[in-house]
Amino acid sequence: VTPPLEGAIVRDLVEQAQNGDREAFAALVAMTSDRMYALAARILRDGVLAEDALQGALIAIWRQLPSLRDPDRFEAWARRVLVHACYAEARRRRTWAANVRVLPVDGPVAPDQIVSIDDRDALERAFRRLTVEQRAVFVLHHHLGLPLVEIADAVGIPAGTARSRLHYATRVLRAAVEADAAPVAHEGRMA
Amino acid sequence: MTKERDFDRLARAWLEPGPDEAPDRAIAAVLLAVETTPQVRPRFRWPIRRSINMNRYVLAASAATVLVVVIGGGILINRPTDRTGTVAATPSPTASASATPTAPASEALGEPVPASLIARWMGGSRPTAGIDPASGSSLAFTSSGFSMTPPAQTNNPLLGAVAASVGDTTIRLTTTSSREGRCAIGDTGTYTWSLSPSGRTLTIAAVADDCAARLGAVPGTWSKMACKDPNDSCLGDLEVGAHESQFFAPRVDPGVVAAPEFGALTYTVPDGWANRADWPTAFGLTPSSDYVNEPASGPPPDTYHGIYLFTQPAASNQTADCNGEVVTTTGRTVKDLVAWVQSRPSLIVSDAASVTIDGHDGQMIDVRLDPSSTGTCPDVSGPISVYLTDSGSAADDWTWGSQAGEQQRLIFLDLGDGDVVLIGIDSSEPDRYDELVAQAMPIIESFTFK
Repeated sequence: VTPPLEGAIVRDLVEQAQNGDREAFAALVAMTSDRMYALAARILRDGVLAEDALQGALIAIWRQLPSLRDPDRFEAWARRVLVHACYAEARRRRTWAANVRVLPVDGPVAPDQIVSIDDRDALERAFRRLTVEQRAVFVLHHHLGLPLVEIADAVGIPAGTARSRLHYATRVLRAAVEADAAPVAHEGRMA
Repeated sequence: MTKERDFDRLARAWLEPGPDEAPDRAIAAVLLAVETTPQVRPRFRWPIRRSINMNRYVLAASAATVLVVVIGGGILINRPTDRTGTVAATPSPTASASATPTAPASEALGEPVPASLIARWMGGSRPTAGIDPASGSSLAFTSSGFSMTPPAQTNNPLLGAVAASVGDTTIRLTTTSSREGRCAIGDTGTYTWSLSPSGRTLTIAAVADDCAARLGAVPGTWSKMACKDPNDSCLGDLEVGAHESQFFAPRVDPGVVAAPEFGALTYTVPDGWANRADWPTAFGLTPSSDYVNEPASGPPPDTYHGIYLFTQPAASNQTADCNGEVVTTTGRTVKDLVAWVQSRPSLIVSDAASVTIDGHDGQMIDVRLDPSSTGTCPDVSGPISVYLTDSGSAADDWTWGSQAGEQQRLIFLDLGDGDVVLIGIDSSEPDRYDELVAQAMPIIESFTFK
């Protein structure tokens, strides 16, 4: 939930930027770009593609900002522009799935107690098999914690479509993790 | 074991590590680009004024910025500024002037480029760095310059060069700036060219070029962009035969800023037709005999005659301002939309007939205003019924209605994946309606959607 003060500040910045104030837009970029980049990187699983998507989205946001009807909806609107920039980037680089680069990781890479290295590998492989649209819904739900209604709004699709994409993505990823775990169980029984 | 795990927790934990700071270079590049990137400014700020002419019904087209006006079905673009969301559309051709030459160009100057070449020309995908292969491309000749651009980025010329005529049908292109890094200063290319008898189709063939990037991009066939609306990039009068749209994006989700997608619609026309609009949410074809009388600002009030396509239609209430208000209780399927139109008491609507276009199923109805209808809209004289609008929630939108005396044929076509396109044949001249339908239906039947 955006605190009222921050909301008021954002609204002011958006309105100034809508009138061509580049400094106000730079302030908006400073406030939102990290979140946007993090989202793009998780959808695209590629830092370079995410950077391109972020740049494209931010420039599109600048250009289209005068058309934003409700400045209070800036963040949701910007998120939608970004998600679609990710779609465009993925389409532009159709070879990306076959030419995977490792997602840069800033945080600790050591296996934690929740996700094993095998799980990560299985999830990465399965995630790359999803369409970028399915990925977006999955990341919006699991990374940002958005409910389906907000995901639908963020992506510009009916809630039912968001639900089915999330269901499919979850099913694929869950199956991948389970399949990855299966040989271990088998070996355990053999032992 | 996996089955016992909380998958949601696992997914969150898997997604958690990763980059959380946007690279400084990316932000710096954006802010630098913004310094020289104009905003897309609607002609009217929200709440948008819908009507600018008597009896013209406005519609502001889609995500990008287009203001399209539909009266009863008649469309007309009203001052868009751009449509991609990434770059500005500058109406006049630009060329090497933007390339900031860093070496004297005088040596490259020769005879001026023939007047018949001075225009913007639309082409398909070209292997040019900086141009999205899916978006198509355009090239522009001035009297002494040449450049290529992405379709809506005429302020972003690529391969800029000094152009000179060196024979009746030969052009020499000389690079005078290496700023882009695609060609080196002094790189020279020689190309032959020919025009179709109408002058609307340009064919370029390479003789030689020092610059491989230009050599790979320039040869081929190009269609003249002769849109009357200086802010649109439609083709204007068309050559007989098949053509492709450059901006129309019938599969883009409602409310989303669409990127140009060359060839999203292909169509075949006989002699005497013009492409009068090509926007992400709207596309228009009209007889050349009507287009010739049309000023850049659009058809005269109360004049509608042609084929109109609109993306993602939805049922609309008729509000006092007639800006369109989506009826959320009505679905967006072909069946839902046809039922909605048929249920309007202000309209006389035929039974629906099934149609199939490009393998897509749809339904076709004929519509006219019920003489007893009393609905009105600001700036529209006489009764009017507004009953369709776009499904988008973003900046721009369109509305569709019927006025007294207007006759319309509506085809709702299901493109799959929830995408529906509205194809309308509309004439404000009852005496010409049957002729229009007879001409328009074969064109509509030629449509293919990518």
